[in-house]
Amino acid sequence: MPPILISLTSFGAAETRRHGQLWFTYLAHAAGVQGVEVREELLVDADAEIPLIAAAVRDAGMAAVYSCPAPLWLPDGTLNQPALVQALTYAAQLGANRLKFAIGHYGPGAHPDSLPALQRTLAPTSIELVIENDQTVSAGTVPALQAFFAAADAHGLPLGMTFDMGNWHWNGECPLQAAEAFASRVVYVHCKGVQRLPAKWVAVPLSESAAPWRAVLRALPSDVPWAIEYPLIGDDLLAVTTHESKHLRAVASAQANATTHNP
Amino acid sequence: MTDATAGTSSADPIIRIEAVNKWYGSFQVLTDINLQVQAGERIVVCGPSGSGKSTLIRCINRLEVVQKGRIVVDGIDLTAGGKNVDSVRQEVGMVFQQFNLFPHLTILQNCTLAPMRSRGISQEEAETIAMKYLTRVRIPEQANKYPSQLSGGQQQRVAIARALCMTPKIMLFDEPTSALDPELVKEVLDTMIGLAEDGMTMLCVTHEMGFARSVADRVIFMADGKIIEQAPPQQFFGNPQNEKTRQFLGQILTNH
Repeated sequence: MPPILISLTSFGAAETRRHGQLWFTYLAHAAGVQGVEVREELLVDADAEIPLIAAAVRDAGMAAVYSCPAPLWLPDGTLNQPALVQALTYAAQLGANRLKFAIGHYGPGAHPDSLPALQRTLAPTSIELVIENDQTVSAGTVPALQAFFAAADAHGLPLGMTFDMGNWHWNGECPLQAAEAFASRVVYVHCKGVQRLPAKWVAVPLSESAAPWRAVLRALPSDVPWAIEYPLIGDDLLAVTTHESKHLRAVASAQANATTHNP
Repeated sequence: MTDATAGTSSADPIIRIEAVNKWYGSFQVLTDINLQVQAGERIVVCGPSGSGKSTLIRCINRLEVVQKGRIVVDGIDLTAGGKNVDSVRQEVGMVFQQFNLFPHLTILQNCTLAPMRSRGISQEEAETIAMKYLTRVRIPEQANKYPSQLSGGQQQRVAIARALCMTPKIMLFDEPTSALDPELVKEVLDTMIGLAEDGMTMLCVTHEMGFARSVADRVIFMADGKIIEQAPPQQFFGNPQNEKTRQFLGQILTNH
């Protein structure tokens, strides 16, 4: 059964900044989830907040993932070393076992030393860098990510992937085909439903999704953490969060039972 | 008419803005504004940043003073000064982008403070009124919590309830959903729609064009401190007359 986490962006950017991620970490724990994904872009004062969140996570026996919004590769093809080093520091302070980045502007023009530089930076740390498919063409399409992972593998840097099941839609990619392409390296899943509005895609709870999310989850490893990353809204946020985490747990349970009966 | 107790007949506009000009130093923020609002009318004011729309509605309860022209609200001439200001502020409720609740007071205390102080009613009566309006904005169960325990959408609904506790004749909204996550906008707009359906006179500065379409009797477009265009929503959105209006709508409707 996958552990259930919550990406703290699920409560809305303005709300999360207003209350702080510590407040939502307590709420997530009360709702019975097993971990939180702390978002760098929603920290108002990282140096003050991270130690408090770390203590709350540790005391609650929860897992933590640290998410950095900066691109791992800059537009000039170099590794975004300052952002990576800073994020590793914060992830360590948080007690996170994973650090999440998108590849940003990695592509054919990437600097030849950038992957070796990444390897050197990661060598001394036990924190696992996980690469997420985001909503951009350069860092969120199947070909772009396949090319990146192949190049990283060739440099002896087999990186795991955060599979965001909703983001594929922003780039016109099929999430099922993406799941088949990347399943072997997926170590973390962002659960996100999607709906199409006249001019844009929006994230919605899985139960309201227009996408085949159950099939996508079945195509991915069954034991990696699942994180809620869709809007959690309501006058009783604890009840809403509890309900959604129970829903995901029930889905995971049903999936596990189906696997047991149909190996 | 400058008598603070005057009021208006049903045929008179409840708000009359006549040839209003306002400057911040040498910068003219409002230019030759003329506007009449009938009781029960719902008006949405839109326009680009810096167009003067927030300044205009802040003039209606004299949070801003004008240097030239006349503003008459419910028969009270605001530009005459004196006690007229206090009289008007009891008739005009205002909701801001930032909710401006007192953080050290409970939701109920936030709602009872002004009626007890400025209307002199008892705590018991004020609490009864407050619970009535908290129920109306659908959060009576939050009465004993503090603002920091509520979401932004809930806090804004409290701000609306707090304004209603003064039983205003007019409600002014200054970008009431701008500080909210998109997912929380609807709960505030639904509350405002409820007010509109009950016949409240409303002036709302907002970029929520769906709200303007469905609720407004009239949409006013401002740019560079002037009213450029005003029309019922069907005409405003379907056949805007001014190039600036068309540009604005093109941008804002694309981004939404």
